[in-house]
Amino acid sequence: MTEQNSATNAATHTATPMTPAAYWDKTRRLTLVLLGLWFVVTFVAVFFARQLDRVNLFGWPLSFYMAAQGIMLVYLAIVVVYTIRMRRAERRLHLHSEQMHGD
Amino acid sequence: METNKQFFRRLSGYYAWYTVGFILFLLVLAVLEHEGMPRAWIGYLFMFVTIALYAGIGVVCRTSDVPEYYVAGRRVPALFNGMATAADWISAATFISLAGGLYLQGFDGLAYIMGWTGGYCLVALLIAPYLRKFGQYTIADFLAERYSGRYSGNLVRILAVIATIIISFTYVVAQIYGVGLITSRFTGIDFSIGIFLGLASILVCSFLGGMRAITWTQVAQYIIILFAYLIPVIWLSAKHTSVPVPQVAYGSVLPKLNAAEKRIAADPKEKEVSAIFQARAEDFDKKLKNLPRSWEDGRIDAQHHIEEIKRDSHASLAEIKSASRALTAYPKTAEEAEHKWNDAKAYNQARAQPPVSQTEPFPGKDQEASDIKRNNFLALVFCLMLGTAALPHILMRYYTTPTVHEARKSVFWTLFFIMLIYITVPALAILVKYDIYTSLVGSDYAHLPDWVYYWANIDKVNPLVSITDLNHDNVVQLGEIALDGDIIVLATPEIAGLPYFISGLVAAGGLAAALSTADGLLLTISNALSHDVYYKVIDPTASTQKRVTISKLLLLVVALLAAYAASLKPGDILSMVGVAFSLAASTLFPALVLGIFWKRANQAGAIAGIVSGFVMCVYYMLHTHPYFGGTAANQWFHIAPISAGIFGVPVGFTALIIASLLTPPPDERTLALIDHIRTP
Repeated sequence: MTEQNSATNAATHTATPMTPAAYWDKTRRLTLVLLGLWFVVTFVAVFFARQLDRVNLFGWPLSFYMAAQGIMLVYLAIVVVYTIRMRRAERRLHLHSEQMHGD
Repeated sequence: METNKQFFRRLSGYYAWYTVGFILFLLVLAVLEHEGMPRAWIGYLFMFVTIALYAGIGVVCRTSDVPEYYVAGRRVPALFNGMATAADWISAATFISLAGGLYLQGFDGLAYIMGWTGGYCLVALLIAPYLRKFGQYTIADFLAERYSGRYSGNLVRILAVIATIIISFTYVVAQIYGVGLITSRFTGIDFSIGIFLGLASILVCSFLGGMRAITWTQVAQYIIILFAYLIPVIWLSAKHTSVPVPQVAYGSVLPKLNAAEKRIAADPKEKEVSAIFQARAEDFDKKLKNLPRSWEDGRIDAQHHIEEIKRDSHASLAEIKSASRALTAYPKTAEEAEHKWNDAKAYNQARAQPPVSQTEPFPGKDQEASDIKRNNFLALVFCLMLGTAALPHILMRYYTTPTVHEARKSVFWTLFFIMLIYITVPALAILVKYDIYTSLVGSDYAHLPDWVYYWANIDKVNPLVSITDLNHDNVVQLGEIALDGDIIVLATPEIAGLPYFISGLVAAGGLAAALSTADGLLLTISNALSHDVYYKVIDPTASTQKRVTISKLLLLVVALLAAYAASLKPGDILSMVGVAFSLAASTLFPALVLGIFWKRANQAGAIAGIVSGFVMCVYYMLHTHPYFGGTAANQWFHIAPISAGIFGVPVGFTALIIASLLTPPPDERTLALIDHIRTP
């Protein structure tokens, strides 16, 4: 828990405030990029599964590995990146509203 | 008032002790089994102890407070909400049928693994944080508030409620059916009594404590599900690879399984068995072509056969019985014969096919057949993902976290806990397949393992597993084994040679999976009726006390209705679960996502989107699903009815956008609401 607190402090020290408009802009961009990644790993990878099948990864046929495990790990990574980046953006947004009230 | 952090610590303590207690319970049962306690008693103990536990949590968490009842007081920490949502998510279908599907369908079965996890990316990115910020009680609440306008907001609300109820009801019937199946198989009690026993525990829990009791029960259930799913697979993995981490180790079994598949495919004895099925299929084909004469001839033959046997003084009673049974089972009319023989022909043709390769994507006899498989795979993944992101009983759970950030974090935990199970599913399917291909295939027909007899005798009419020595060589061929996918998980402990208490644990896990999902679904339905219909539409002045009471009564009614529907044993209901996903994707997904990301979306658009998405999806299913009298000939681009959402979703989006652009934009209040939910 203390780790998180120090991380919070570090973030507040270095972060610059962000207006609601900029925050929404950033949210949309991040969402779009991650959705693009989601689309590519899901639909493009499966579309070319027959071609990928020839590739072997430590004994696993690549397309089977991706569908059974690899793609799921990418999904988890997408959610992790989103949660962390949004947390950071959210702090900057709150910094902005604090300043507004402070002034 | 304790802080969130203290609350989290207190909860972690409770569940740590609970887990320790559960492990002790397992150890005690292991000792009891060793001391000679009969199998039936172990089954009873598992069932009653776990059901009593869930009911106990329900009693402890009883409440009549509105926020507590509907959204667990909005203080469920992300980690625990993730666990509860995972239990809510992992249904009887996942726990029992998913590995079996992979075993039987090979690569195609992975569409479920991908679809049911990738949907959470959409939940995280597009829906959960915004719903939490909105912070009401149901999905209909959000849609009604967002799409207010010329007509009363209740119009959108009612549409959303109808969609919620149709989706959740098909789903809950399948869960209760699963409860009946597991209890009757493991304790020998009657199917319908099993249903009502399970129902009792669901009711005590959700009736007394609503969302609050359900949340804490689901966390407990998740822990049981995890143990039940992982222990047998870890054991199998240690047995075949000497590495007890099945998710990593099964990679080393894959080449060996491929080799076994090739060896079996080239075995002349297998070809013999396949030829027998092919001959049978051709036989039925001949009879079908000669209808109705072949039907008449067959009936007369069967009658002659009986008379002959009766005249023969050496015939045993069993022979006479089987001959008269054959006559009673004989089709009553030529139409019935056509139907039955068509099924039999298809069945024998399927059995004559060589087994599918486990890892090869989209095997087909030519490029076109393979492309159709690929397109269906993609369509199914699409529908399952968008359906996941629009299932009301899942989305509702993200109202229960303390903040928007916790909601985002809790989607992560949900996906994490679901993944722990889903990443193990292919490992289980492949390890069991390897075990069967190497130790059952080629073994002596006179000495089949015990589990085959045990599972064959549970349902004698439609045996879950049957092995017949068709070519009379006293050796088991793969083609001679008929296996129902549903027993793969339930029989794994016995296949792996584990003691019986592990079988009991797996049954308890399946029960927990079915009960936890049923809990969440029933609450969703009764909330839709009590909160959205009764409180928001019929009587907006109702006191909080009255609202909660009405909700509890409705819960009882819905639960009994669902149990009644399940007791009719609608065989196709399990495939209907898949249909629920297409329906959710087509009706609710466009309205939810555009409601958040497109300010211009208005009430007329939402109504048009929900209605046309629904109509499109239902139309396609009715025309292509044999259960509703449709045929495969009506399919567009050879897409199976389960993926009707692939057409429903674009229609829903298009209708929503066009109708919105043709009508005036939403008012100031709505725009302010959108800005509000976009800012955490």
